[in-house]
Amino acid sequence: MVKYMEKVRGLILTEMDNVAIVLSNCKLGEKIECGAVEVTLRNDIQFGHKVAFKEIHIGEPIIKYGHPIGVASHEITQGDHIHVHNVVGHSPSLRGQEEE
Amino acid sequence: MNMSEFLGYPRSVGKAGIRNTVLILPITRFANQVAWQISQLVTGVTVWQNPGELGRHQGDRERLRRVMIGLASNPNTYGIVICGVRADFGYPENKLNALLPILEATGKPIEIVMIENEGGVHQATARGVDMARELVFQASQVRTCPVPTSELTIGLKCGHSDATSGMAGNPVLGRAVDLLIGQGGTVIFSETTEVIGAEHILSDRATSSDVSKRFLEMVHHTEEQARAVGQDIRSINPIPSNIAAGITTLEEKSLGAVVKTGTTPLNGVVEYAGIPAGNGLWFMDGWMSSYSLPMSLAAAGAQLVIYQFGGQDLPEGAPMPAINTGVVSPLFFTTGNPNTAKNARHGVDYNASGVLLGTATLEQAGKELYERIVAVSSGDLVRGETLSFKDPLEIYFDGPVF
Repeated sequence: MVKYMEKVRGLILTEMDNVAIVLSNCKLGEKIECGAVEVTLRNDIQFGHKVAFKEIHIGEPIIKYGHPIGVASHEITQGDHIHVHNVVGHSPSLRGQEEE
Repeated sequence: MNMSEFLGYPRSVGKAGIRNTVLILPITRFANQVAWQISQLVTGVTVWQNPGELGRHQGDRERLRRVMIGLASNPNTYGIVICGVRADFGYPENKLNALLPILEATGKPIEIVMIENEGGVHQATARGVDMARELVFQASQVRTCPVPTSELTIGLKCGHSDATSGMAGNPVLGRAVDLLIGQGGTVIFSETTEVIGAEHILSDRATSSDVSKRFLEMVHHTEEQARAVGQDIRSINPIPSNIAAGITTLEEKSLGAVVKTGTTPLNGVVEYAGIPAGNGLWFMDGWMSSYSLPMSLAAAGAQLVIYQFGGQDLPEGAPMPAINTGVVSPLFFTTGNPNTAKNARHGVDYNASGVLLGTATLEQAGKELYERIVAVSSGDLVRGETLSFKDPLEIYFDGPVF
């Protein structure tokens, strides 16, 4: 898309967040900067998807925009792709889905 | 640049305008032709077309009434030419004698042309042209003056969301919103279906339990309407293309949308096309359609409507998602997507993609956007205002019709 984004940066939206957003299509093993942390990717991660820049344990909240967007359903290591395979929605606002 | 003042058109009652238009207002669908013809013969006017009141229940007739009163009393409206059939025509709440005392309280010059009194449509058109020309002439004598930005009300809309919306476009808009509210201004957001999943965040920001309760009631009403037609909004969101784009949960999707509201408390809620009773952040029950919401926000008193869009899916040489749908209020486009900013450059008023390009922080871009808002409030045109075309409009009726 753009030169700067080709440098494969991870964008952290707020200080409370424990995930960064990947700004270009990245490959397993690539190193990207997430704020002050250099993270080695443990999966291929597409533009707009999330990466962990720190460990997140099962049951801990995933924080984006400064708010929980779900909880970890698996142990998450720095560099992991964070998505539907290791996160579940947790708030009462998802009750409709849980009833399905 | 002074960020606490804009050059506005002072009004005898209420806030200053950022535009200075004469509204041609047909209060019944029978007068649409007269209103339209007046608008084709006179410069400096804005015409609105009445979607019709017949067969609508009282709640929806009141929605129609609030839109008419709201557009007429918007600070951008200098004066009004009311077009009708006769004074006692139609349902009680939308008759001239019901509307007139409220419109007169706005302090704005009002002219009235009734088809029966003039002897027909064409005679009424001729009379209305004379009236509109006189009001436009008077409007030209209003001088702008420095006005505190606390008198600004902006409406928010987001759409054509993509991966950039939640990480660039909306956070930048949220920072501009915080700056305006910090100056004492007013911001109205809406799109009831698109707060579902983040309603707890917003209700937690409410300044009172009553505000929180009314807000949640509006959200639940929309959910109930979906259930009534056999749909569960929560079971279909996020949709597969959202998940493919990296959105994992419904909370994440809605948070990406509501981040445009910034961080200040939720001061109040208004019903559809209702006018907030104070400043700060307000929620209006409304439909997300870009052919409906900008008009509805203008009716709620917004002098300017900001449309934040992702737009990754727009075709090359992109047509904008809506053109001049704010009726009396300009529609300002911003995007955080670098591709969209390039592809839709003839329609984008502020390019927030520097956040993703690494050329600006969220704070810097938010301040720049705020500065553009002040500049447009002082008379800079938005791109859409350089076009004479206006998309058709739809009021958010509750339905059904009978």
